[in-house]
Amino acid sequence: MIGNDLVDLEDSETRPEERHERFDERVFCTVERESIGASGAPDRLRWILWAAKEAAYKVARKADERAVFSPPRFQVHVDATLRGRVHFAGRDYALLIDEAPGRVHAVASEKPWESHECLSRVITWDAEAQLAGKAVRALARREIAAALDLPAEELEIEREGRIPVLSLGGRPLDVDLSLTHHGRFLAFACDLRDGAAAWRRRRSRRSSSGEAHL
Amino acid sequence: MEATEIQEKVVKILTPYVKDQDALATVSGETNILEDLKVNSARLVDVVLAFEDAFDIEIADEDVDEVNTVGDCVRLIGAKV
Repeated sequence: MIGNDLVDLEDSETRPEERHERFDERVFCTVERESIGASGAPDRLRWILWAAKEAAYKVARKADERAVFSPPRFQVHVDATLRGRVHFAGRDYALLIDEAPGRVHAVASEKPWESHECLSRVITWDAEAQLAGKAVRALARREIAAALDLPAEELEIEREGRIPVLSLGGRPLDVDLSLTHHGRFLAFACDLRDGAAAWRRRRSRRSSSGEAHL
Repeated sequence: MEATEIQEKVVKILTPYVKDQDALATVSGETNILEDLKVNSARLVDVVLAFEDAFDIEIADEDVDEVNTVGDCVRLIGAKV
């Protein structure tokens, strides 16, 4: 399972003066607060750690809906290459930070990256903020369809609670998906491995039976 | 403190964090804070801290996890004041 989160570092919401004075105390464990304090770029590190916690929480919540987002309990360990792990409730979640000017994107997984066929994209979004949710779903549908060579118009993303669920032609497609947007950016991350295999099997059956449609 | 008074204070505290200001015009107990008002999850931390300051209460992360709507906030705060 995969989770992602994105922070626009230039959004007004991420400015230091916008934060409550007890934000760091509420969100970060002691070691993380010390790292932020010692960092030459404390705001950048603050939001990397935040995005990592959110991404790992999305994975934990998929695995167990009773998981609570208690930020200090999601302890982030990230190295200079922006790879690392998030420790929560006795488990380690693999972590990748994708950083570009003005934003950080965190992707977390319950399994090592080698066991995934991970696809993720971040794009800029400068249209109406109210439409960002729709736009990130369209981005995910388009990219996943291209990666799996399947018809994008038959891909649908619905939600079970707050978890996005992908289906093809009305049937669930085994592609674990996570969506996020903030400020000027949209991003999705997914694990194609199981879904790709299932889609190939479905396509093979369809071809052999001569079906024209799914 | 009456529920209506708590709700008024809750909405006032939420207002600067709301991205969809139009949604504030029709705010009710059923209004979803993340989905309808488009409050960012990181800003929700600031909102919770502001609730703690305004009502002189402590709100655990477990409580925050149960909060989806303005009405949930009002009930949570009402049980603590």
